[in-house]
Amino acid sequence: MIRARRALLAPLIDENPVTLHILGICSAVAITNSVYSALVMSLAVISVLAFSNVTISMMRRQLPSSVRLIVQMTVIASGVIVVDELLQAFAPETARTLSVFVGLIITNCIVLGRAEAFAAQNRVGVSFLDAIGNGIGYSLILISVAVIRELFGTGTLLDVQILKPVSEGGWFEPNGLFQLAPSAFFIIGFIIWGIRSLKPQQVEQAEFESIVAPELGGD
Amino acid sequence: MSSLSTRFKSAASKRIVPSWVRPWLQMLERFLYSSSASARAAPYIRDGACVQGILNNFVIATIPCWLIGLWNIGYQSNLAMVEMSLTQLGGWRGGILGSLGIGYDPANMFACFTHGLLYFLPIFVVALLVSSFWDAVFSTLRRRSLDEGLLAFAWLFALILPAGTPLEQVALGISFGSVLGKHIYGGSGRHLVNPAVLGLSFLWLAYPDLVFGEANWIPVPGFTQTPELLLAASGGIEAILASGLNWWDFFLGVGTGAMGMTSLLGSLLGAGYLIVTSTVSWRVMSGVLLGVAATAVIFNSLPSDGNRMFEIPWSWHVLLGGFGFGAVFFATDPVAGAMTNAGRWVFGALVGVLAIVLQVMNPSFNEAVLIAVFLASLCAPLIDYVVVELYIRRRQRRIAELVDG
Repeated sequence: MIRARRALLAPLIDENPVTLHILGICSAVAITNSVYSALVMSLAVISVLAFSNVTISMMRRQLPSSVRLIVQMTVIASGVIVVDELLQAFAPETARTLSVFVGLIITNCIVLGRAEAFAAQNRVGVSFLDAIGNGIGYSLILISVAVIRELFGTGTLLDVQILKPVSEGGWFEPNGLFQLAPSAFFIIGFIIWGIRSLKPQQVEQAEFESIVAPELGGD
Repeated sequence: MSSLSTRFKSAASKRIVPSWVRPWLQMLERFLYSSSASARAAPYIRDGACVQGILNNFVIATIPCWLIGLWNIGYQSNLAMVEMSLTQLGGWRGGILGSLGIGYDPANMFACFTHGLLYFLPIFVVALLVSSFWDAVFSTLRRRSLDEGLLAFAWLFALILPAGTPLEQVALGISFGSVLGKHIYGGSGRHLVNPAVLGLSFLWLAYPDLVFGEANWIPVPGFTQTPELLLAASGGIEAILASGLNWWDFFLGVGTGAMGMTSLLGSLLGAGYLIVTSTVSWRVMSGVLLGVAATAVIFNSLPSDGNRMFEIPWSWHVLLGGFGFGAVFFATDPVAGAMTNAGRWVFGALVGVLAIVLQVMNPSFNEAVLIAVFLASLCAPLIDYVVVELYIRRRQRRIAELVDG
């Protein structure tokens, strides 16, 4: 029971795949300019993760370790293709805005990382929970970044006007930088900064010892 | 005086006041007294110069640019008012100029300078206050003494902005530059990219029309001016000369541009001061000039598809888009640039090449040289790494030859 809880809850903040393992940054930068596409992307990743973790966990005893990576990739790719086809069939508009990034879930290291690090050694049930936990952890970051970017970049949330821009008689000046991909980098940076200030155990060991000059002037 | 100074210093540094008050006292102290402290551990700088002293040298060196730039802003504004047959300016600026009886005569140098100053001061004061705020916040949080770049970066940032920049945008830009450019790396002297340049790049990406619109260069309400770069892109040098200004006018600093960036003469004077005081390396500036000349010559020989910036000779490139100011005061940044002598040549040349490529390919951004400095700064550690590796390899080969021989 404790194990199941941990598999589900730890990836939310304490072992968040984006902010602690720095995985899945590519899609977090690329599609977070609107909350809607972030939501769709999150759902897609959660379903692929759950599918791949459950499948790989089920065949973990039959899988020879020499070919396991290839098999894992095949499973993940099949899941991604199904999700992609579903999106194109039922939400063609969204599929177009997300363009290649649905297909690129195959290369999202979170999916392969969980399959290799967790599902290959654990039972089906707990692997499923781990997939859901990691998917939600990824979605949390994706959606927070998207909220910030859409709100300050265009003044809307889910296409509903929140801040009224100057061009329509309001006071808000849309900040073009937030609609550009680089802004996601420093927003994620700020989130990591915040989390590691609150939870110092996440801070990595320094790779080298820095020589700190003695304080000048002061005490 | 000295006893007052000692008492003040002890109040600012010792624990007799609450820790959150100390940065503010130190800030006052920095403005009133010079520091008596010197470095006790590596890296050493050749003499008593501290980080703050070196950065303040930049402020002193930009004074000619500042004087000429403010005169230019006032002169252009007064000319624009004559053209629009305005005799009086509204708002508080008009109130001050009117009540002091200074007037709006373009031929009167003092009137022009004062007019320009009234645009510079609010921007500078906002930049200084906002960056002081962030400096105090980080100095309190980290329990460190106050950051050294307080005055210099606010000053440089104000000089590279158009005169009509809205004050909220000034505050946002300097906040971004100060926090992301300076404090997350640990303060002045550790930055990756010059904080003022980073703040400007932020404004350029976030609010291109609001900050760098055609109405902002000459801030008279209702007056728009196309910067020379765009004129040259559509009509070549003839279009610039058609406004009645010649090469020497631009050299002196008459033109459309950011508040302090128009004068090549002022930049050269500043360059002289910086080189004489050994604040910066002459190699970077020479590298920039080489890069500019080479790239301009290459562009001159290329066929262009209607963009007449291709045919501008290098002697004009150095006048347009605040080029001189960027090359002298930003490309030479002692922290963000390359640190090895060979690396400085390469770094300078890279700035020159990128600046001309940006200026020719995208003449709509008037301060391409600063973006070039930004991009080159990111390459500076790589340049230094290669230089050091090559040096090590050369030495090892020499040793091997000696051993064999």
